[in-house]
Amino acid sequence: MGSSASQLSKELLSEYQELTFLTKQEILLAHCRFKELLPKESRNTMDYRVPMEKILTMPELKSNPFRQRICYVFSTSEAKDGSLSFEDFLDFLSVFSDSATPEIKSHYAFRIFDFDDDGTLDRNDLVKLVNCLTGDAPETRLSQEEMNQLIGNILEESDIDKDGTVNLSEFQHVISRSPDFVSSFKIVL
Amino acid sequence: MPLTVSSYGSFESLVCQLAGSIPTIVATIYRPPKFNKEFLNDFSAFLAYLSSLSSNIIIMSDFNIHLDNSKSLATRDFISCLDNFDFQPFMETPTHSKGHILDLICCTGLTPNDCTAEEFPSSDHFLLTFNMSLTVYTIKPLHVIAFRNLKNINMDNFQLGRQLERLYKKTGLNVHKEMYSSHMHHYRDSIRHAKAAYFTALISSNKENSGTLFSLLRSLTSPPDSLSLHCLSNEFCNTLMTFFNDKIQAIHYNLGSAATDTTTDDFPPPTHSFSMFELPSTSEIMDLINSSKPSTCHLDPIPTALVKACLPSLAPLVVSIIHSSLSTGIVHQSMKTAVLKKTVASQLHQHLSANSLYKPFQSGFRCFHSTETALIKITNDLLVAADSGLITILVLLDLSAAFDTVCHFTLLKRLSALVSIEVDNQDDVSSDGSEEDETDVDSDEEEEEEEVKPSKSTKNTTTVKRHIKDAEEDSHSVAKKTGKRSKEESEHGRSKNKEDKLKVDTTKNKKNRRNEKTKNKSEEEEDEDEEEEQPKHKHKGKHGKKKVKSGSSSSEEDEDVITEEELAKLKEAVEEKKKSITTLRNQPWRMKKKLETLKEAQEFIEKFEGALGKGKGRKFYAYKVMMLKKWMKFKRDFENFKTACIPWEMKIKEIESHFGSSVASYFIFLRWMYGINMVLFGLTFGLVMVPEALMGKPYGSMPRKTVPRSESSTAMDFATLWDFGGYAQYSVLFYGYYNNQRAIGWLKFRLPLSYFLVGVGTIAYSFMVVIRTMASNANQEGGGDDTSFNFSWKMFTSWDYLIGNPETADNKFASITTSFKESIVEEQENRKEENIHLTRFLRVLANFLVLCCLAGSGYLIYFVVRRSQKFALEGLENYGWWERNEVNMVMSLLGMFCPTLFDVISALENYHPRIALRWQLGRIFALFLGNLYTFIIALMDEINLKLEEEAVVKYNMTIWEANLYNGTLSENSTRPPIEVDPADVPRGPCWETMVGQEFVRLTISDTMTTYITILIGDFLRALFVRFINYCWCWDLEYGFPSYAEFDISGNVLGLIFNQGMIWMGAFYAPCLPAINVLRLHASMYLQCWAVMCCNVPHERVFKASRSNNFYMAMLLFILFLSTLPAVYTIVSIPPSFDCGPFSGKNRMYDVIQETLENDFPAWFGKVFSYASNPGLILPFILLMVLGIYYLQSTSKAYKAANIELKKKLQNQNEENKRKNKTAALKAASELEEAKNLAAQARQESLAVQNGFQGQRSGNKDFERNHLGQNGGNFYSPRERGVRPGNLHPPHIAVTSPPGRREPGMHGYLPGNPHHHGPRTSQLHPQYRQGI
Repeated sequence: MGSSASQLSKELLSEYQELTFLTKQEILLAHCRFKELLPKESRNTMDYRVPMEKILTMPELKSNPFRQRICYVFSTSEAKDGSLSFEDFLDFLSVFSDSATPEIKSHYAFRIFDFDDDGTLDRNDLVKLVNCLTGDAPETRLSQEEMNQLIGNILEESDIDKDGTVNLSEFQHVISRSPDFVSSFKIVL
Repeated sequence: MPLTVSSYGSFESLVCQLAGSIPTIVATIYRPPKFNKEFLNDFSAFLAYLSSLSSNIIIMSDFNIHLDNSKSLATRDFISCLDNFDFQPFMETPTHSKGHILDLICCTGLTPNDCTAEEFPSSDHFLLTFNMSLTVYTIKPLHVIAFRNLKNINMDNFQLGRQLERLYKKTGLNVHKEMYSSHMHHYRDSIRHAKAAYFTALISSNKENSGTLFSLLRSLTSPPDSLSLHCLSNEFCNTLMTFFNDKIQAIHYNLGSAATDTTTDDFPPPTHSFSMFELPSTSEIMDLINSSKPSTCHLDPIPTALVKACLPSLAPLVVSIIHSSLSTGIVHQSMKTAVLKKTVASQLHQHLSANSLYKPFQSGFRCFHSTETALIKITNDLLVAADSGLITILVLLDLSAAFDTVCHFTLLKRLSALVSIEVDNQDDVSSDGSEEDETDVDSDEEEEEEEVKPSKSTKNTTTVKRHIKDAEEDSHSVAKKTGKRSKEESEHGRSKNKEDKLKVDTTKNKKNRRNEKTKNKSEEEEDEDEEEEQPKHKHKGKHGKKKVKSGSSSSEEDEDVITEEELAKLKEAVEEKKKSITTLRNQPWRMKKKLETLKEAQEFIEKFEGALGKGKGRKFYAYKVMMLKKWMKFKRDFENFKTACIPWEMKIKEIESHFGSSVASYFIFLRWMYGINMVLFGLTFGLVMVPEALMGKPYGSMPRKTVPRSESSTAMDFATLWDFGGYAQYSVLFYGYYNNQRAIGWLKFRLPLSYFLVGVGTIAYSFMVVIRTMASNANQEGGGDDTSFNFSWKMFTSWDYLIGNPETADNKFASITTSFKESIVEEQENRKEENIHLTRFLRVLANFLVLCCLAGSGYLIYFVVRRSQKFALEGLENYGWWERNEVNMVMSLLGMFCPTLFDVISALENYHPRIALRWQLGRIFALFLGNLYTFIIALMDEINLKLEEEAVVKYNMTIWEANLYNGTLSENSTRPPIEVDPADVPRGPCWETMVGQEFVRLTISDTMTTYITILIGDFLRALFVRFINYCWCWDLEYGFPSYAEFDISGNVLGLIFNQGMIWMGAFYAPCLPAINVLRLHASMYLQCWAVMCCNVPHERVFKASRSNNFYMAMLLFILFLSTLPAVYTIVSIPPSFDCGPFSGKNRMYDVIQETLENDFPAWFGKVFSYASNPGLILPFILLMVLGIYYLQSTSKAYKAANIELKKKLQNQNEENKRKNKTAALKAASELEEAKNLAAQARQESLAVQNGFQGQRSGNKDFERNHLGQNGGNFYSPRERGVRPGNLHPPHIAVTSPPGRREPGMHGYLPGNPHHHGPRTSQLHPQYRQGI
């Protein structure tokens, strides 16, 4: 880890600690992992962005149905290609870490579920979400009728202001009462 | 684009190429009529060359070959030559007046249309015309646009340096100096890096282009100057300067001969005076800067955009510069910013326009006036003059160096007289004015001069003059400014400015200079000789210095004036920033960058802390801040250390990522248990076992500490030790070994008391921890009580992000789908159930079977324990291993197989998986509990037996002792030291040790069975499935045996029961926690390994967190149940008489009483006895019950309030919705209205447009006015969303309301430049009036 530690300066490291929910070890580990994703020749440049395809090959994300969404949400790339810089990567790990607050977790969960980035979860988002959750296999897919029923129920429950979409505060309200969310909305390296 | 073709001797050619997707070649050929045999060869070579260029060729030619004469040899050869190159001649009609075809159009790849030949007057050849469609485009030269990426400049960083410098200057702290210097280093470094990166990129991109590389190298090694070398030399500069100086002087000289100024006194006294500039406020100046154009030139030191962005930090400086310039009237050249000019100009303008001092037709420097208006006016004048039959003479003057030769004195006089700008301090203003003139060819002064001029010109009534400027512009197309200048010059010429006046002026300047020079002589010394050469420059330099000084001093003062209130404010701000730093990580901001910049800003603020302290306090404060920082750092490091110390974190995380959080929750639970057991172990080990081992009497010193003679032969056998008999039994591991001596060793350690307290403390601590954990868990779950969000939770929280294994993911997909489907079905047919009777019957049957199982297992244990007692009575030596370990084995086996049996039985019931799981857990729990309690009851029986035995032994003992004394010694000595080996002393059965042994054995065998189950059930099964699968008739991996799943519930229950046994037995076997710690440690590794290598992920989801408290509840229950028997034995059974720390006492808790009596003062004992009086305890219990009742009722009330709130929320939402609806309706009606209005407006505006065409600028004004007045309701955002794409173009709609426009529109309001809009036709009538 010596070489990687030398790359992250002390101040930077402490700043990262201040700004994320990660500990020093976790940041260093993240840095190691991030460097593995980089092509050999550009390992020494910190601002290199890892393309989304590379990120998706990480075992932690490989089988996550929301992996692409996660990349898009955390990417600060201007090209909107889902590529992550190291800081994006840290952001991502911080949100998914153990000690992140439920508020920030639910905020990002909302962003991940908001497939069209319009700030609300509408019917289309929910349909996509259900399809993500049920997987690609045809036998696990829900029929149209089931889908409608399911989404109707969800909207009935969580759409408090009855505008046909779930907005962030409604979402956070629902999530905050869920017992499982914080323990399951986690990714560790 | 012309092409060069090799010239041929036999004909002349002209070739050009038209660019296009396929380039087109157009060639013109003239062949002299004289026969030349080379022609055909040359021509074919020419054609071959053209064909190589493009496939589209047009040849227009005068071949002078009679093409209509096909018999001619030359013609035939020529045509065949054309054919060879696939050229088609297109011309059938004669092209020559003689009727021959001499001229030809030949094409390949293209076909001309309508070839016609017409007679052409000036030639005997005809004019040939044809049409051809070509796709042609022109190649645009590439423009390379270089720009600086100003948007990417990090503003905060950019300003940081300046701020730091100021901070350092202010505080003078070393820290700040270092910060500043490090920042500057950083700054320099980054510039260097940027440069290096730029050139590297340039070089690498031009790798192949050696020319560029060389030129780059050249430019790098010898940086280019914008001017050629000779231009930089001093002589050149001087010659330039002298040239202009000479020129001006020459003009002055020439003017000197002209008439003197006589007009000065004619002016009427000024009506409004303008004596002082107001000092503009910061906001005004910021407005000015912000409104300036963002355009920038590469010569500017700072791009405009950058200045605007940095404005907040620059503004105070700029303001102070401007203020001091205005108040002192001294302006330094380098400080003469556009801002200053603008402020001056705006104030002057205000003054002039407010007092309508502007000449109505001044064209320059006013809005809505331009050369166009001037031109219009001239034409108008000309027309008017012509109408009235006058002759117009236009005199155009071009004056050289007009601006430089203006006489300042005259100018000032004019200004004060005409424009009523008062001149307080002649000297100052004059110098000011002169400077303005020289350096700043811009707005304000000129404006003033303009004022002067037109007014005068009207007085002189020479209309011609008025036209001069405009005409000049027309004819010479000179820049506006020069035109104006020349005009002014002309006026001055006319008003006969004299050179002597100018001289006066300059002498004044000189005087002025001298004065100042005396003031700051020292600074001036060096500049002195220059002064002679360039007096004016010098002058400026001096002012500049002064200026700078005053500016900096004033700013210093500003900052020194930070008073106490400000200090307090600063402190507050710093505190706030600190708080925001700590909450920073909770912000869901997208960009890390954002966080970082914010952080940096905060750090900056923190640095302000250094400035907070005052005087003496400052150092201390800085020290405090530093220590605080260090402390924070230490805390963070400590946190890091703490997390690093959490054992098995990585292991658990690995499992988490493979199996999801549910399996991991088991391991976390295991770790938690491990922690508790560590504490228990520490308590017993540190407070009981170690003191006894170190300070108590050594082994063999007394009967209870020695192995009896009868057992000593087998005491070291492994079998005995494995059973915790022999030496193990007579050691610190068990209760019986401890002595009842009140205090031991040099520490006077109260061992019996400590033993008792540790026993109680163990239980108390466990209760506390379990309840606390439960409470915090409940908090976390935060009232996830209601099922109102059932679907949403399934949707939003069901995915476990920890899953990293594709197989697990697939299972998860499946389980989520089924849960969706199930819940949908549940929702759809909540009440519907098919064949209730069968299911009911099956369920009853299942429960019956389970009960049978439970009862059977209970009886089995009871039977076995009884039998083992019989064996024990008869002596264990006669029996084999099985008989000795029967009880434990039976219990473990039951624990192993019954759950499987229950699982099978529960298949009958057809419950929902979740409910089934609960039933399963409940049954297993009941089984374990039943087993445990049968075990305990059996133990109780045994204890009673032992007690009876003890009574017998006690009786025998007295006889034995009596015999011993009688046989050896007489009564005369009171305490004869009888030496009997302690091993021979008869002793009681010591039931406490027996109980402890039982529990230890049970624990050990339980551990063994668990491990063996893992090995066989998981590992061997996995091996079998994995390797036999190759030669088996069905797929083992997916078929019957498959791999084992990790049985979370079973394992958790096992763990819980094991813990229950520990709690029960710990009092009698202090070693039990230690054993448990070992066991947990081992199982952590073993189970982690087993899970990772031979288990498959769950198919059924076991909710992690929800079950967490479920485990806890079970643990609590078990804890309670296990303390019951322990407490019972402690309280109600008398301890053995000859073993253990409480021997000889009536009850174990007597030890407390004893301590109270002996070690505490008497009053304490009294108080204690009062406190333990039932009269006090009962009310206390009552009070507690009441408290519980109260808390419960309040929680109920809260719940009710919650529900109420929820209802309210819903109501409000509905109301909101209704409101929105009505608002939408209202908006729609408004829209209708607006449409109507717009329709009207359109008609009207059409009418207006017919009348007046040039309304563009006027319209704009109207738009603005209209917006200002009509405010938001017409242009509210909502309507904006609806409007686009509707019937009418927006600007008409906006200028619509009919009544408003009439009055202000047509008339030209003099003195109100804003409504000056329409320029063309409106000017005319008004002007006529003026004339």
